[in-house]
Amino acid sequence: MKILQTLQHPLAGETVVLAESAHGVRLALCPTPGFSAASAHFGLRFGSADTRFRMPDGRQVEVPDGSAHYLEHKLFEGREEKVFDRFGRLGASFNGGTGFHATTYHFESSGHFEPCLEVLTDFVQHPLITQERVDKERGIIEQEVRMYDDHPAYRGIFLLHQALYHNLPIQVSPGGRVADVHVITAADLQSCFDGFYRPQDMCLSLAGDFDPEQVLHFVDQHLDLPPREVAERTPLSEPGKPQHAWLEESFPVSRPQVYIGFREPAGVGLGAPRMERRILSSLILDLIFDRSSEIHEQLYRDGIVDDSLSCYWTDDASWGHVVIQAVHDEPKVFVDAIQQALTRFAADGPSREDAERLRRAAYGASVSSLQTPSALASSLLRGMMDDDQPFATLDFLAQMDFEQLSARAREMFGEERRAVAILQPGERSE
Amino acid sequence: MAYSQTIPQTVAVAPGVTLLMLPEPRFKRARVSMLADLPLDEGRAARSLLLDVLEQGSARHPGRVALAQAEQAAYGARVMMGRGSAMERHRTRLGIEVVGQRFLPEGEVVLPPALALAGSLWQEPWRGDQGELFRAEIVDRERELLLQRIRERIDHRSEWAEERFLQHLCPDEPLGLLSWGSEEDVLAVTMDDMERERLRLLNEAEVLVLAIGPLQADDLLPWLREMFPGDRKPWQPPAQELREAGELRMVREELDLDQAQFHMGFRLPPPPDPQQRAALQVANVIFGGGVTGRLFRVVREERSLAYGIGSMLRPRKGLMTVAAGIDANAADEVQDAVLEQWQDLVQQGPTPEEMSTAMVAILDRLAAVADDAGSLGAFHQREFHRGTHLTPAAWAEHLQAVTPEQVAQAASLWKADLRYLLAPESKA
Repeated sequence: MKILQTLQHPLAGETVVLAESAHGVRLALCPTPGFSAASAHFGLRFGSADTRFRMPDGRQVEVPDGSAHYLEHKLFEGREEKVFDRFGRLGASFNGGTGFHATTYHFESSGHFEPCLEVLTDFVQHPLITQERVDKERGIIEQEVRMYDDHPAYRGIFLLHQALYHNLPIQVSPGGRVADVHVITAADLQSCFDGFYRPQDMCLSLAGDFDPEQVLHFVDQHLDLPPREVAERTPLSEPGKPQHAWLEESFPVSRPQVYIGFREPAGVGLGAPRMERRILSSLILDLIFDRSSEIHEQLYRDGIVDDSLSCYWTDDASWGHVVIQAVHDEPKVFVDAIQQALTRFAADGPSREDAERLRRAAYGASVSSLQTPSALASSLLRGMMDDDQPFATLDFLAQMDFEQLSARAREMFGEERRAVAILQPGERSE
Repeated sequence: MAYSQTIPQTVAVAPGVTLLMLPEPRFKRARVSMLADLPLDEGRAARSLLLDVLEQGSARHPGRVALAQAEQAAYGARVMMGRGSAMERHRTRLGIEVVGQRFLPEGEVVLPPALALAGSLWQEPWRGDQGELFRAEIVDRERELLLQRIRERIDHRSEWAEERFLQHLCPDEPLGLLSWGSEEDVLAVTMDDMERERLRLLNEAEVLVLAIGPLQADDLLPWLREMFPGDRKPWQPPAQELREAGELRMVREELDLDQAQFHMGFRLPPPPDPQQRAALQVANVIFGGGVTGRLFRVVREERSLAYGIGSMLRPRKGLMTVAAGIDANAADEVQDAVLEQWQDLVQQGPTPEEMSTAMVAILDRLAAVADDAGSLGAFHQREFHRGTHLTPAAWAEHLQAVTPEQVAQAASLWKADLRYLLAPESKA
């Protein structure tokens, strides 16, 4: 185990120890004296979008959509005993999650931190994947997929992804479709595990009232998966403009639901460029669509937007887009009015006063969010997986340059990079 | 494990207004939550519309833009209003959150402006230009938006199913009522109604204020005393109305959806003392509380019938409910499993392993309550409204004293009342 750096972060009011295990797992530890619970978050950059890859032995593999999520479920089965039962006996709260490009597992415990850490490091490194076990889980995952299928916002977002992108696998939800769930095999999941669950791609963050050196020693004994080559993802070509400008589908909703996306031509990779783009993009959306904005107020008074409006920036290394969503009786009217407002904003640019006020608000919200050991560990894991320094968001907000914000505002809303998805009231499309 | 032994500082601010203070310098954010309770079965539509109108601005901050900019200038202070039902009460919330002073640049203060902003929302409405109680164009617009939200509830299938389930479970009890009021109620609300309800919030509501984090009572008391007059006459909540279950009722409704929503409701006598309440909580955790509960183990892990299934208690209302998303064809099988597990718990009692797993889970979460302002506030709020005023440490002692016999006894008092299924539409 190597301690790489001990970092005092005055803005966050925290100390972080960065380390690396003997086999290459990256670690971040944050002592939180006086707190009862301790938390560990484990993650790796492997997600639902990773469906085509070449194994280290040269074998080309293609797995069904939803495989990464299915694998997450199977890891919770444990090798000899269900993880639910092991964590359950220890009283821990725990969960896992699969995104497009990452899978994470975490727990929180007040009284049994090291035994829980042993469970976590064990089940993510030593699964037993058999066809019988995979078949047993199918009904459960099918119900999970169907649960999301009834959410209009969930359906609307994936329809928007279909409009925005040509080839990226983010057009399908991380859980896959019911039909995908029916055909996933043990061999598919084993390939995913063998290809991507490698120590040099793993990250582990821990926060709690503990002695970091003692915890590092404990962890080093339990991170025993030997380093091996990681599978190579098959590159996908993705044109820089949306596949469809306008896509509609019927769904059982009372009124039309409108989803507008503005995509980037390409991603900017991980690390500082992505983090900065994320913060700047989010601030610009607040400058336009937060209740503090005169633009938003005018749209509200005109009946174009109401409290159903929401907007956000979402991205990863290879893609990024804005989402603006709302319920509106006349989608075309809504889209035109939003486009006009965006064009006007891009031409006028943000005001320094508004930007400074929003910067303060974002800073206050970011500090406040780093409260519990679990929130701290989650933030540290995200930072490691995104190749950012701990609490990099706070550092950037503390010294943000107004010119960067203005430049970002000018490039975000090109109409040629816009796609619209609509859920129209009606019976569910087949 | 260590449990919080902190007893909140209790301050009687005015008749029917209590401040519970938990100064906690570890927290990065100060949080003030005001809970104002009035009857659920009258005035709720007027209060719902009132809150939407008050959020549009005050005399001090005329307009949404002015309000939001004031929050942002205070380093992202948040002033939030909300409403909902709490047992048979209609609860109106006013929440304030500010980042702690130690994270601010020298000379910056955020709590006083955030309190002033929040207070102005309830105390100084943005009146009409001709002296109207509220601005007519805002009332009209917000009424229409509230009506839309009421009509669109059906689009959110799982919430809709839960609402319909409670309506069938409690058809003539306040809990079965929509906390926003019906469309007809909202259409009938006048400005006089709204002003009357605003004054009732200040003068009649039973108010609990929870303040947690890096702040002191002196930061709040002048503000609270200005908001709530010393001669107010608080509403006296009526005694809880309780019902008993008869034969198990079955209700099935259909809608265009993919996954059926399964609910079951059980009636039970509210536990009369903390020890019986502790036994009931342990029984619920063993039965359907989380991933170690029987329902999760049997319905999900053994039979693969659901992704999630669990049970929830409303002990003061005398209800225990079960919810799951399932294939509609499996509804009878799931119901049988629920009833079998319940009967087994009553007749055989919990196993030693179930007792130990449930206890360690409950106690682990109880220890963590002190780490988070939201959890700590929720704990003390429940204790206040129950009138028991226990600390987490005192509650832990009750839990640790629960026996398997007490668990079986608690479960034996449940009576199955209703099975509700929201199923996909039948194909002709």
